[in-house]
Amino acid sequence: MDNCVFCTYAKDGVPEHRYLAETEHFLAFLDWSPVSPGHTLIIPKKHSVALLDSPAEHATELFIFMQSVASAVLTATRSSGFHLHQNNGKDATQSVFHTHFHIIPRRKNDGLPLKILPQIRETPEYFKTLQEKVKEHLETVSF
Amino acid sequence: MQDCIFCKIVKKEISCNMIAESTNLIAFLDIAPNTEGHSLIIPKKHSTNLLDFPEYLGNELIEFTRRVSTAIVAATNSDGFNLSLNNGSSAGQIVFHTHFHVIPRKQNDGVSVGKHITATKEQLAATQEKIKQHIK
Repeated sequence: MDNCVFCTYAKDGVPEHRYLAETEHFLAFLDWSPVSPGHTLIIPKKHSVALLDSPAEHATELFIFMQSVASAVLTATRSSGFHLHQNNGKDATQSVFHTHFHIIPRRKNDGLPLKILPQIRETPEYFKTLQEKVKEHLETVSF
Repeated sequence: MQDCIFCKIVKKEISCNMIAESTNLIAFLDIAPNTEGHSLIIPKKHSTNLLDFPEYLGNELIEFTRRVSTAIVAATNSDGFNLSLNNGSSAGQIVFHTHFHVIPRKQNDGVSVGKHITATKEQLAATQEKIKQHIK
């Protein structure tokens, strides 16, 4: 896609100092603005905007690749955990509109928040109502 | 797995607000949501995190997640969503049964998902080298 920075990476290559690895359909490179050292992005080479228009057909390859990249990132940065994170839509803080998965390494006491905030406390009735609402919409969704 | 709260949910020994099920996965509402509609997607068969999640479930997971998140976003009048997994206690994982969070999002909802640090080109290059050595 024209004017898509990640399509440019897929076509012409990632800036040399940030390239990590690739498979036939996916590419891994370091985030230019990391949340923690080793913050990595994994993208499909073929353009899609976000998860909802991403094809599922290469997902096995994606998961094998994510697992090996995440393991390498953890070892390399001596981290003990990581977040896998993916933002869908501007209001979910997506800023590049080419599907990408963040791998954000974590260590004990690294000063980053452990939880996404805020956490809301709700009643069972609240959940029941919401569950019904979601289920209604599920009936109308087909892929 | 014994004493795993999500295995008990799968076996229906503990109740949950289930929203959908596929062959190998279920989706239910998180009991401590970040936003309205915050749900969890888990494999029925026990695995601990992303690293031992069976990759052959990848296609089913992506399809199921698309289906479930579309419904959640519509149901809550949201504008987008975060898909998130915490791997390891240092990343805030509390239940050690693989689970993916679907967190619907709206403009200016005040949810905080981590702040960015800055890294120089040199720092990035050094990290890159370290990681490349470990890529199999």
